[in-house]
This record gives sequence, structure tokens and C-alpha cells, in this order.
Amino acid sequence: MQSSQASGAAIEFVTGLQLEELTTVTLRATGWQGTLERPLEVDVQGWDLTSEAIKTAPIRLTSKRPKVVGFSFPEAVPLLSQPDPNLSSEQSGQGEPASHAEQGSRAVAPGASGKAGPPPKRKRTRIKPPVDLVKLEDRLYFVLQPPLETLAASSELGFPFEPFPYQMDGIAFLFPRETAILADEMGLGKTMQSITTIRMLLLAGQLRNILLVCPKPLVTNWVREFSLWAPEIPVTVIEGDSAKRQFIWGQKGVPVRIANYELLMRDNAFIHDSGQHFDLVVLDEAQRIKNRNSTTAETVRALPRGRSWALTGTPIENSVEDLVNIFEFLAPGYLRTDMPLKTISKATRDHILRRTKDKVLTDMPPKMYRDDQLDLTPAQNDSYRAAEDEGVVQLEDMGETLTIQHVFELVLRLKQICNFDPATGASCKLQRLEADMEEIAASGKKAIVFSQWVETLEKIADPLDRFGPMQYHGRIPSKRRDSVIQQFKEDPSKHLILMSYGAGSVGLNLQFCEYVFLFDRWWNPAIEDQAINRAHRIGAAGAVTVSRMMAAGTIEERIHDVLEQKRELFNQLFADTGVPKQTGLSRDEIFGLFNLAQPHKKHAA
Amino acid sequence: MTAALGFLTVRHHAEHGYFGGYLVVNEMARPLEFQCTMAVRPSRAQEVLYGPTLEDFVCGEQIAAALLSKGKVKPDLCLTDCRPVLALAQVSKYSIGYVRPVEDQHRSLRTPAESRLQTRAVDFAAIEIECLESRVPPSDALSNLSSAVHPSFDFEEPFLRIVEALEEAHPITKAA
Repeated sequence: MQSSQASGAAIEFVTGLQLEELTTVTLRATGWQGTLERPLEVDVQGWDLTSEAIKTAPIRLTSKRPKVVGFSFPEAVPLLSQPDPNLSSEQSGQGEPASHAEQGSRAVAPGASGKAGPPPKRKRTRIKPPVDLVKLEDRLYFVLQPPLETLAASSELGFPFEPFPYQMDGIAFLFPRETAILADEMGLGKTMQSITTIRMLLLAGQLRNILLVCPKPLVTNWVREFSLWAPEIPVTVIEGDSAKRQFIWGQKGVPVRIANYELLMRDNAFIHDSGQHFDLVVLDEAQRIKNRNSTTAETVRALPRGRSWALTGTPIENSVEDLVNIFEFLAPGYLRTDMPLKTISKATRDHILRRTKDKVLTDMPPKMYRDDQLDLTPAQNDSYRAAEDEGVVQLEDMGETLTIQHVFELVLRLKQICNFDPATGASCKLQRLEADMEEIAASGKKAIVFSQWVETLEKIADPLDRFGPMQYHGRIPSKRRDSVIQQFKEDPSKHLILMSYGAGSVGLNLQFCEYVFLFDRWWNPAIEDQAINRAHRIGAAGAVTVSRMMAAGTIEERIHDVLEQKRELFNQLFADTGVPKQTGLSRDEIFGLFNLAQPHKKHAA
Repeated sequence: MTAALGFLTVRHHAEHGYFGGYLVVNEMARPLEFQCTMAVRPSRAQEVLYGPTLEDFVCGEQIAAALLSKGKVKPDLCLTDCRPVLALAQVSKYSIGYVRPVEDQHRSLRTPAESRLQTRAVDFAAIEIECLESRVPPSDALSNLSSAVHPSFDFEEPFLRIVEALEEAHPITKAA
């Protein structure tokens, strides 16, 4: 620190590092001279400003590459060895200048809209992976497949008719599934959906060896449908004598085999000896395996296979056990009969696809029911009353020995009387049918008549001869059945076909018929629906009128009431909130037809 | 002629950031290869310093570059429905074309905003694509490729597949 001597009245400060340079202090004359004459003390503090650096905070912008995961599809293998892209700049010249671009190129301002825009909107049916498919790569395999419409168009898979959107949905459902039940209502095209899915899976290389099992009468129908929907796929029918069948089972390189259930059971050893492993086994009318212990069920469960599909319009005919047993084929052990019904419903949701006509075919002609409650002819009435009274008395007298079979026998006897009086041959139903057929034939229409008895159908045929009745039932040899259908379809003089529920309720396409008569009623409404849907299906010419004939005040009317209740229950089966319930006639209901108490209940009372 | 078309999209999720997906298909739209990124979240510093060019950087230079470099099948042409992805062409050898996207408002993954990159429109097959001004593919190559692609090819549709695959691969992004 240094100080300087000040003099004078005014002070001029000169700051700086050299105090010696302070040269002049002027003091002016005021009353404060004494104070002013005191030496001035100046403290000086220095800073070294030149040595202070500016501080900076660096911000690093890391450019770490994002982590990438992926996989290749099998179709990519041939391309992996191909050279680099011909449009990459390495080949086309680095940074192709705008002037080299094609003539039609135009500068575009950001955000400006393009010329062409998207192509016309089409339905895109996407394949969705099943819920139980866990591995991401497997799920993505399906997610990344193009829409079915694109697959079909790009592969030039022709269709004889444009599939309905719900049918494409059905194909998208089947395509990724190892286990599936296609449970569409009769007439919605389960056959077509299965064939088209098989076709696409064959094309994708996912299937090579397919076995289709169906009831014997439907084999020709399947062959016909294959030729219609997938004409390029060779189909081999398992038929002929034992040696021929053994040869067919052993053949390699056969993409599709069609076998009927009966032959499958007979040829069980051939199949296993041949060492065949099927990529897919499809069971048509899969309700055939609803009895777990039946030979049919055991045989199909033993088939060596990858995928398992079941086709049925009635996955539950009588009870939930039917469904559980179909699942024993699809995924053994997946369902148990002791599982709560809601659990079963939830567990099967992703494996079952069921659509009904009223939901998906809103523009399909209506199906109109007409319940013909007919009074028995006097002769029929006498026979009926006598038989019922006598039969009920006999049943009551049987006491503890009474079984459900005894009740069934009486029901059948009474139903037969409702059809025809055994003594005179009189029939109120035949009279009504004749009258209706006059009108139907006059308008050039065709009708189907269903009965559970071949004898009844044969009795109907003679009096209705003028309407050219054709017959299709168990007594018609299988080889003749196709020609019967063909003639009925093409011959304008044939206005009527007489069918048994057993032979004619499944797989036939009779959509050119506008009238269906249920001459007598089947026990199960699902079977009746199958029968009705021979006519009421895609391509139906017009509204289908279903006449359900029943004799008033008889056992038929009582059965009808029970069946109506069953029908209501069945309709609830696949509703989201519906809980599956029994749909068959219970023991109580059967005994209840005659107000009989079951033997053990009588005992208890 | 066998063709390989790359479809590359980047989608943004409000909470988790950017997800990139890349699908290579053949001339019949059948899948050949799929790659996708983990979530990419730009740092605060990147947001501040890249400013309006952030999505060009994240979508084009980061995500698209990573996806294409990981791909095994070399595409004849790469298409995107995400404009910022065009920035890829600034830093790599690839030519990339922009196809105007179809917005699906019901999805939780959104297409990033438009980029300010200068582009030039060129015809390709039945559509118009936009390429970076300086990287327009040669017309003869585009023409050859157009003729190889099936006439029914829908150039919007593969992007929808990628978005579904992204949602499948990153379930956290699925809309409620």
C-alpha cells in the first residue's frame, strides 16, 4: 500500500497502478482548510484481470445407434445372396442429382400432397395370431403376413365367387391356428373356408400332407367343393378294397386325402404302418366324436398330426361334455368336464369361431317357420288314444323295472301313429303335404321333406308320385346318391325330395329349394336346424318356408314345447354372457312326457 | 423378376418415445424380413440443440440408419410414410421414397410431424413418391422395379403391418 501527499482545494484522482504518477492535488480556500491540509490517504487494490479464463460447460450429443432386433422369413433365403440394391447410390451413382431424375419428377414442398394418393379402399382381412401363441417371433410371423385379399390377388388364387367378408374372417381365423373349431351355423360355408385356408397354407409351404375326415355321404361333396374352390390341389379319396386303400395311405406326396369315418377306423393299422404324419387333420361334422369312448373318437385322437381342426355346426348337441370331447381331439386334457362352465367358455373363446346367419348374412332371404298343428284323422285319433292310454298304463305297471328305453318305445310308437294310422294308412300330415305340394309344384318350386323313418318316406312317395318325388336316405346306395341330387336339381318335373334326417341333414347344398317340411320332429333342435339349412344357405333363391308338422294334442306337441325350450338354450350357448347348458332331453323330461315319475323318485316318495 | 421393397416407419409414443420398424417384402407383398428398434428417447440436450431438426435426426439418421444397417435382405427401394426418415439419405447410401401416410386415429403410436426436407416427386408403380432432392433414384431403375411389382400391390398397407408388429413387440405402446 502506498500513500501520496495532497495539496490544493480540488482533488483530481488518477487511478492506476503507479501512485507516483499522482502529480497534482488542488486545494481550494474554504473554511475547512485545516482538514483539507491533512494528508490524503488512498488505498489501492489491484486485480489481475488478464489471468481469469472464461468457463465453458461442454454438452456431448451422443449418437449411439438404437438397439435393433429382427428376424428373416423363410422366403428371404434365396434373396440373402443377392447383390446390393440396384437403387442404392453405390450402384446408381452417389447422390443422383435431381437433373438425372426421370422426366415426370416435380419438386414438392414439404407437406404438399402427392398426385396419386392411396389406391381405392379395399377390405383388408388380417391374420391375427392366436392368443396362446407366446413366442414373439411366432406372433410376428402372422402379424406381418399381408391381408388375405392381397395374398389371394398376388398369388392369382381365383375364386368361383367372391367370398363374403365373414368367410375371409373365417379363413384368417383358421390360418394361424393349430387347434380350431369352426362352428358356423349350417350354410355359411365351412367347407369353402376350410378349403381356401388349406389352399393358402399349402401355398405358404406350411402344409404338405392333409387328411380330411368326413361322413361317408359327404365325401363326394368335399371332392366337388375342392374342384370348385381349389382346382389346382390334387385330392385323393380313400376308397376301394383293402389293398388299394393300404396303397393310398402309404403314398407320398399326396397333399390332400379324404377319408370317411368308417374307413378310417378300419384302416387304423394301415395309417400307423405307413408312418404318415399329417400336417393337418380336419374333422368334418366333428360331433361324430362327441362320445369320448367311441372307436371313432379313439381312432381320430390317435392320428399322428400337427394341426387339428374340427368343423361342426353343433359343437354342443346335448351337453358341454360334447365340446370337451371334441377338445380331446384338438388339445387333449385342455378341458375337463368338471371345470366350471364359465371357465370352459373362457378357455375355448380363442379356439372357436361361430357365426350365425342372422348376424353375418343380413341380406340373406328370410327363413320363415310355420307350425302346422294338425288334427289327427278320426282313424288316427282312435289308434293314438288307444295306444297312449294302453302304453301309459303298461309303463305305470312296470314299477321299478321301468326304464327310459320303455318310455322311448312308447314315444316312437305314438309318433308313428301321428304320421300314419297303422290300421288304415290315414294321415293328416300327408293330406296337408299333398295340398301344399299342389301349390309348390304349380309355381315351379321344389321342396324337401324330412322324416326320421325311411318307412314313412316310402309311404309318402306313392301318393305324391305326380310331384316326381326323389328319395335320399339310408336305403339308397351311396353311389346313387349324387345322381339323385343331380336329377332333383336339374329335372323340372322333380318337385320333391324325401330325406331322412340321418342321410340328408349334413353337407348337402339344396339352396334351390324354398320349402322344407319336417314331417316328424327329431329329438334335437340342432339336427333339425342342420336339415333346414340344406335349403336355407348361401345362394338361397328366396325365402325358405319351414313347415313343422305336428299332430295337435299328442306327444308331438309336448316334444315340440320341450324342443323350443332347447332351441332357446342353444342360442344362448355362444353368447358372451350365456352359460352353456344341456340341450338334450333329460331323463326327467322324457319321463315327464307322460307325467311319469322316475322309478327311484317314486321310491323316494 | 424378384423384387425386395423395404417399408420403414417410425412412430412416436407420447410417453415412451420413438419406435422404428422395418419390413422387407417381395413383389407380392409377402414378408421377407422384419427389424424393429427398442424405444428411442432423445435427450433434453438433443431436443434443445436439434430444435426443429430433431425428428430428422432421430428418425432418419438414428433409427432408419440403424434399421437398414441391420437388415440382411437388401431392398431395391425403401419407402417410408414418415417424412423425417428421408434424412437417412443425407447420411447413407440408401435412396428412400416417402409415401403419404394413412393416419389411424385409433392408435397410440403417431406418425412424427412433417419434415422441412426438400423433396422431389417421382412416379413409382401406381403411386407418387417423394425423394430427397439430391437423392432421386434413376428413372430406369424405378421403371424396372415398377414392372416387377404386382399390379395389386397396396403401398400403404405394409406400414399398417409394421405398426401392428410394433404394438405386438412393444405391448406398452398399445392403446387402451
